[in-house]
Amino acid sequence: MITKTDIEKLSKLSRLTLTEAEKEKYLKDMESILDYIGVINAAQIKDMKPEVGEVRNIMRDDDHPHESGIFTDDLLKLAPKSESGRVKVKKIL
Amino acid sequence: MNIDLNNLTIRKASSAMKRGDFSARELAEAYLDEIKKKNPSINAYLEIYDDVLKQADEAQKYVGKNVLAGIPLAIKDNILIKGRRVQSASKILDGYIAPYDATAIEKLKKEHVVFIGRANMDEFAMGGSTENSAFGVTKNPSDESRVAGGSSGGSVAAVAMDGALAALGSDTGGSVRQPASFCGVVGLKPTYGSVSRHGLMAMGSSLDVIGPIGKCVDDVEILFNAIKGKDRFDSTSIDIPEKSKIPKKIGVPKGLLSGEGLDKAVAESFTAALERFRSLGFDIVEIDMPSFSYALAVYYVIMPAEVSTNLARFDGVKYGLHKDGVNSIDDYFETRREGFGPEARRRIMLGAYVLSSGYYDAYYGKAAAVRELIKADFAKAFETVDLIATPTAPTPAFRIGEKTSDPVAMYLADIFTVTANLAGVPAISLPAGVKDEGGKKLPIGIQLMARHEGEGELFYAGKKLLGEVE
Repeated sequence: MITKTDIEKLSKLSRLTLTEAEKEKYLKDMESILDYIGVINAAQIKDMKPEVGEVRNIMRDDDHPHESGIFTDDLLKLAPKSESGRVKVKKIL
Repeated sequence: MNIDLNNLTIRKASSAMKRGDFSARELAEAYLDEIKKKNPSINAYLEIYDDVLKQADEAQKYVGKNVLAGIPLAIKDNILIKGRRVQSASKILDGYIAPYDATAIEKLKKEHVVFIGRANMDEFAMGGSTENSAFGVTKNPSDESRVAGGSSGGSVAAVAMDGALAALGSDTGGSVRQPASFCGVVGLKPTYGSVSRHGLMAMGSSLDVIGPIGKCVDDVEILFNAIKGKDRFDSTSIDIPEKSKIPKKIGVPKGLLSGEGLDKAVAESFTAALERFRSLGFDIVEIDMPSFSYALAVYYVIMPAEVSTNLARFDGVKYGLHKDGVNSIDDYFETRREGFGPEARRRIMLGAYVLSSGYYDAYYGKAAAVRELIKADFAKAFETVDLIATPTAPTPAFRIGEKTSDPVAMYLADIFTVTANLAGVPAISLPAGVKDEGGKKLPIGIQLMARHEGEGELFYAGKKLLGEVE
């Protein structure tokens, strides 16, 4: 059973600020969604494998690298704040 | 210049331009005129590019060489075109300019298509009605009191209202097929991996695929052939072999039409479409798909889990919206509060919940295991049948606002479409009838699914049903 405390924890984990009214609303929504998706527990699984899928670790060869720095300006222009070739954030220490 | 846009197809337009009946510029102008008339109320486009005629003039040089040269397309707002705005109909990407081309776009540029504009959608492709767009709902051209469907509602409505000859959408759980069904056009969800996801904004990465939308099967096939193929920038992409067999046998899952919530008109047009297939020489047989009853629940565990992961990247640091807080972490909270709409938040939190250590086995682990059962059911079914038919959606287009207060009611619109995404098989929605309601004709679609890489079989059967000449 999902509780308001769970919603508060989830919103914090998800970096989402919620108002009191939103907490109540999402609690109600999540209750009905979880109630619906709960039907999967009725499915009979013989040997439940922990793997998610069969395809994994398909890496592309690290060859033909592009010339260093050719995308830097275009990408930095998209950052809300940047300074001397770097993305700028607030002090974290 | 009077061009009959309503009956135009890619091949017809291409030959007419080749003959000189009209130029690429005149064709683009004809579409821009329709958009000017209809878009203010339909809201299919979020932006019409200011260089459409310039693109058309350039494309004119390739008329006669490439069948897609000069063909005007609408592009869903989650597919990147270099140098142009793109934002998944979300405020969190306000001001974002695509720094590169999606692979599908790069391929279309080589065919010299004309990009008309970016099409409205549910925010980050999450929804079945475009009511989750931060820029207002897209209305259904058949009845403006109803939704166009979603999440690729803008792309589909653009085609249905003659605001583009064809379009690209994306399909994670039915987002190309369901709106195609609601608006009476053809929409393809290709085999997972057959079209590169490079440059498509990620929603559910194990489910997402770019899909073409058009007025006929042939248009969709032409576009699919232009955008498909293995791509070094998407490690899940594959090449689809040309081989295709002639489909003969169509399976219909047992108990399909007795399910709750299936509109009577949908059941009738589905039965009538099967009858047409039978008269065209196809065998119709009943098949057992026991795991299908879990499909929607499985989808609504796996998809939000992937959404919560994918949408973690929007933090106001690297691109898009930034809202200042008192410190670095507060910046994230402020930016995401301002930037994400209600459905995005709901799915992010739901995803965080099903992935949390206490519930992982009960939800995500279980859903991943049931997904394997669904794949096994498909594999078994395709040993005896060539295609599987279902309605595309349980109802015709619903009214704007009808389902916005009840997320589960909205999710139920995906009940027939999510299975193909979970298994990765291709599926197509074809117009199969209309429901007369309140003096309006509401389109209804039929869905066909095929084995992995079986697009050719979908095109063959689709053309037969719609009477398109091979």
